[in-house]
Amino acid sequence: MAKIEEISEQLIQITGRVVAGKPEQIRLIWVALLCNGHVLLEDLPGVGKTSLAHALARILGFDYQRVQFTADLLPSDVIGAQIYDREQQSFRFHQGPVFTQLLLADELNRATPKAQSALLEAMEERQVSVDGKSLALPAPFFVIATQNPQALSGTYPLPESQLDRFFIRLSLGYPDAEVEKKLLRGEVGRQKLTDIKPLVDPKYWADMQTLVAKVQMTEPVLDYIMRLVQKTRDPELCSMGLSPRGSQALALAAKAYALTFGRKYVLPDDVQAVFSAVASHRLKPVRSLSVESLVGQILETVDVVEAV
Amino acid sequence: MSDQYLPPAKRVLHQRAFKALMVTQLMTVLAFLSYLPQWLLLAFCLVAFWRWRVMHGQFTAPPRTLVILSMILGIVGILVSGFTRYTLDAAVAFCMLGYLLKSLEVLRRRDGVVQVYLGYFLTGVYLLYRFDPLGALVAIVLLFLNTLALAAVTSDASYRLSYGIRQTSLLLLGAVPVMVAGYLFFPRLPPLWVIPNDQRGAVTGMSDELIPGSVASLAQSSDPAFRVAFDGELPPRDQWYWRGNTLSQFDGRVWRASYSERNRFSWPRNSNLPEPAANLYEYSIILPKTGRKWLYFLDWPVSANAENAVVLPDARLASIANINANIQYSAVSAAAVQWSAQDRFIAESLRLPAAGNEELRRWALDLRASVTNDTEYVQYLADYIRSQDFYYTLRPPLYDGADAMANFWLGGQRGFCEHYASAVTFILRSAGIPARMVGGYLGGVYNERGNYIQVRQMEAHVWVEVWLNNRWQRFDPTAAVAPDRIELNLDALLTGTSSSELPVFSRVQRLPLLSSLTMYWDSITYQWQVTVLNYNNETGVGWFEASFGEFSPLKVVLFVLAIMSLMGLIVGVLTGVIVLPKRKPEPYASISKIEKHFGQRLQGETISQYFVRLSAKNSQPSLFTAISQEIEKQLYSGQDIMPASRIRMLTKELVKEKKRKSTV
Repeated sequence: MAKIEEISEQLIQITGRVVAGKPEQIRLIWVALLCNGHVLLEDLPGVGKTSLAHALARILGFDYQRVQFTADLLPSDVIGAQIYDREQQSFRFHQGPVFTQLLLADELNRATPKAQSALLEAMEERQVSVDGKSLALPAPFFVIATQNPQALSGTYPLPESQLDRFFIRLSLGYPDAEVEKKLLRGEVGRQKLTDIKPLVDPKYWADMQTLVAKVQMTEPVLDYIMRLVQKTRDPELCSMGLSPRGSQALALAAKAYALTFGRKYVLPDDVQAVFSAVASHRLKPVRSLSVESLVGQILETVDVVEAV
Repeated sequence: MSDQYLPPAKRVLHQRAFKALMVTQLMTVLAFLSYLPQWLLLAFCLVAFWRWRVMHGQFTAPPRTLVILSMILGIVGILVSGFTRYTLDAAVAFCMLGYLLKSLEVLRRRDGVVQVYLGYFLTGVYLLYRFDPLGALVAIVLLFLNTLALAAVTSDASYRLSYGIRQTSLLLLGAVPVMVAGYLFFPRLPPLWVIPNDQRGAVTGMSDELIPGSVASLAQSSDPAFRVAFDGELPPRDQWYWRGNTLSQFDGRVWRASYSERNRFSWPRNSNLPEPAANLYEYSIILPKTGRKWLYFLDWPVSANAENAVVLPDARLASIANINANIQYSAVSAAAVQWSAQDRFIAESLRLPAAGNEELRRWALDLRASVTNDTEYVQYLADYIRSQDFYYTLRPPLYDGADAMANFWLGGQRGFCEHYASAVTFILRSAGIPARMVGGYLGGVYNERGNYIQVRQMEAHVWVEVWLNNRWQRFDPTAAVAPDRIELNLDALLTGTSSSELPVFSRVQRLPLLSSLTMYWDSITYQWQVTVLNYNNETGVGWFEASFGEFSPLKVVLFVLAIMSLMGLIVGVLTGVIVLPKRKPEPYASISKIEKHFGQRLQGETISQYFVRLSAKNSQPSLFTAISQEIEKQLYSGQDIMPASRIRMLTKELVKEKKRKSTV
C-alpha cells in the first residue's frame, strides 16, 4: 500500500479533474470515508455532486449505485423487495440499489420521510430488515447524499436526529470563474470519468481505518476540542449544542484529516479545518444567528492555546 | 460493623495499629537494652506473642490473674536483677515493665493512645542515659515511631502507612518552631528534684584515693575524659599534664587527697591559686559528667572561671556539687608559678606510716648520705631509674602487702606510672624531702578538624611533685623509665609491646582511615557539646540581642510567630494548600515572550496561523517557521524528545534579531 498522504494527494488531484477547484471539499469527503462516515452534500443542482460521487467510487474501486429520490419513491425502491419467482414457485428477495459500496442518494430531501428513513436506517445499521430477516450490506458501505437547499419548494427537510447520522455536511458551491472556463473548454468535467482507474485495493480499506485510530491526540488538542464543544453548549449561542457523538466525530475527523497529510498527530489546525463540516449540521443556533456565522464565531473566540 | 457506632476512643484497634504499636515497642526496648536487664527483651517477645494471637483473633483481653501474675513476676525479676534501691535504672526498668505489660490489654483506641504516651515518656527518659548526637538521633527515631503509631491508632481500618508517614512528618515538622523557640528561650531551671543516680559505671576519672593498680585499669578505657580548646597557641606536647587531684596522705597502702570529695565542708573558703610566673595559656574545657567533683586543669592553673567551683590550696579547683552533666569552664594556666603559704602541705608531704617498706626506707637513707643536697637526690633517683633494669608495663606483677613498694623498687622493677610515682614519693619522704603525688592525665590527641585536644581515660597518669628551692616542682619518674610516654601518646608508646595488652580501641586507631574517622566523629561530638549542650539562657539572650537588638517579650513572640508562619508556609506549599506562582513551562513561556515582542496571538489563531501571520509582517520567515514547528511538536506530537531549550534558544534569537533590526 502506498503512503496514505500520497494516496490522498492523488485522490484529490484525480477527482479534481472531474470536479475542479474544490480540493478542500474533496479532502473532507475523503476524511469522512476514512472515518467510515456518510456525507451530506448540500448544493444547488448542477455543481457536480453526482460526478464527484461517481469519480470517488471509481478511484476507490467501489461498486456504485445512484438513487434519485422523488416524492413518490417507496422504501422498497431503495432496499429491494420480495418478488414471486414463477419458476421456483417461491418469493425471492430482489436487492435494491442500497446493496452497494457507494450509494449516491440524490436529492434526499425530495423524498417522503418514509423513504428517507429507510435509507437512514440502512446507513446507521449497515444492514436492512426485510420481512423480519436482517440482510447485511456490503462492507464498506458509504452514502453520499445530496440535498437541495431547503429554501426550495417541494422538499421534506431532514429532522435533526437524522442529520446527525451524517458524519459531515458540506456544500461545493459555485466554481471559480477560471475553473468554470476550463469546464467550458472541456479540460475538466464529467467526460474525464472514463479515464479514472482504481487507486486503492479495497482490501487495504480496513488498514487505513486502523491508521486513523492510531493518530496521536495530545492533551492540549483534546482540551481545545473540549473548549470548542463547551462553547457550542453555551445557551446564548446555541439552542442545541454538540452531542457527545458529535464531539467524538470531531476528534475522529481531526485525526483522519491529519492523516491525509501523513501526520501522525493532530494539530488544532486540523480540528479547525473539520469543525464546520462536522459540527454545522448538528448545531442549532439561537434565532438571531446563522449556522455559518455561529461556527465562525466559535472558531474565532475559543482560545486555541490555553493560557497556563 | 457495630464498631462504628461506638465513640472513637472505644473503637477496637485495626491490624495496622497493632503492628505499628508493636514495632514502636520493640524499638524502644532495643534502645534501652544496654542500660536495663536483658530479660526485658524476652518479656517483650512473650508480650508480642500474645499480641500476635490477639491480632489473629485467638485471644481477647487477658484474664486479670495473668496480668497481676506477670506484674508480680516482673517486679520480682527487677529486684533479682539487682535493682533493690530506688535509682534511675530501677525506676526506668519498672516503667519499661509497665510499658510492656500495659500492651497486654491494649485493644481499643484509648488504650493504644496510653501506650503511645508511655512511649513518648520513655523517649524523653532515654536522653537521661545518652545525650550525644547518636542519642539524639535515636530519640528522634523513637519520637517518629511513636507519632506514627499514634497516627495508626487514631485512624480507622482504611489507614495506610504512606498516609501515616505523611501525617507524622507534618506533625513533627509543625512542632519544630515550638521546639526551636523552647530551646532558645525556655529558661534553664535548676532541677526541682534530683534523680537518684545509679553508681554503676556513672563515676569515671580519677578518684581522691589511689590504690596501686587503679590507674592501669583506667588505661584500658578509650572513653573521652574531657576536651580542651586553647584560645591561643598550644603548650608544647611534653607539657600536657592535666592536673586533677593532689594526693598527699599515705597510710601504707592507699594514697589520699587532703580534701575528700565526700566531705566538702572541710574545704577551705578563701584559698588562692599560685601566682603566674611564666607563659600563660588560656583554654576552655568541656568535661562530661563524671559523678565526681574534681575539675581538671593544665598544670598549673592560675585562674579559672567555673560555676560553683571552689579553689583548693593544693593548686586545684573542685565543684561544690557532683558533676552530673556535661559542663564547660574556662581557665588560665602558667608553665611556672610562685607559691605562697605552703607550710601545711610541706609538713603533710613528709608524713609516712610508722611501719612498712623498711628496706626501701633504708635504701632511701643510704642514698641520702651519699648526696649533698635535695636537688642532687632527685637527680640521682632519675638516673637510677634510667640505669637500672626498670620496665614500664600495663600489666605489672601484683605487689601487695606492707612491703609492696620495696618489692617493686628493689625486686620486680616492673610497673606502671603509679608504681613509680608512689615509690619515688615514698623514697623522697623517707629521705626527708617533701613530696606528694598528683593524679590526672598526661597527653591527649589533638583534633585538627575541631582545633581541640581530646584527653581519654587511657591517658590517666600519676606523677610526683617535690618541694625544691621553695617551690613545688613536677618530677615524673615515668619520664625516666619511658620518656616516650611523655612525648607521644600512650598507644604510640606501647606499639612495641604485645598488642593484646592495649585497649581494643587503641589497636583499631592504628589504621589510618579509622583513625581519621574517629577524629571526625569526635569533632562532631565536640561541636554538639559546644553548641547544643552548653547553650544556656545568657547565650540565648545574647544571640537574640545580637540579632534583633534589646531583648523584650514582644520581640520573642514576634520571632516565634515569624518562625511558625515560615514553617506554616513551607508545610502549606508541601501539602499543596498554598500554591506559589509558577514560571510558565515551555513552550508557553516562549509564546508569551514572542507575543510581547511581535504582538498578541488572536484567540482563534493556531500556532501555525499565528507564525505565518508574523512571518508575513517580519523578516526571518525561516526562523518563524522553525519555532512554529518546534512548538507544534512540543505541544501536539506527544513525543518528549523535543528539548524545550531549543524553543527557548530560537525565541531568544528571534527577539535579538528584532531588536537589532529596530536599532538599525
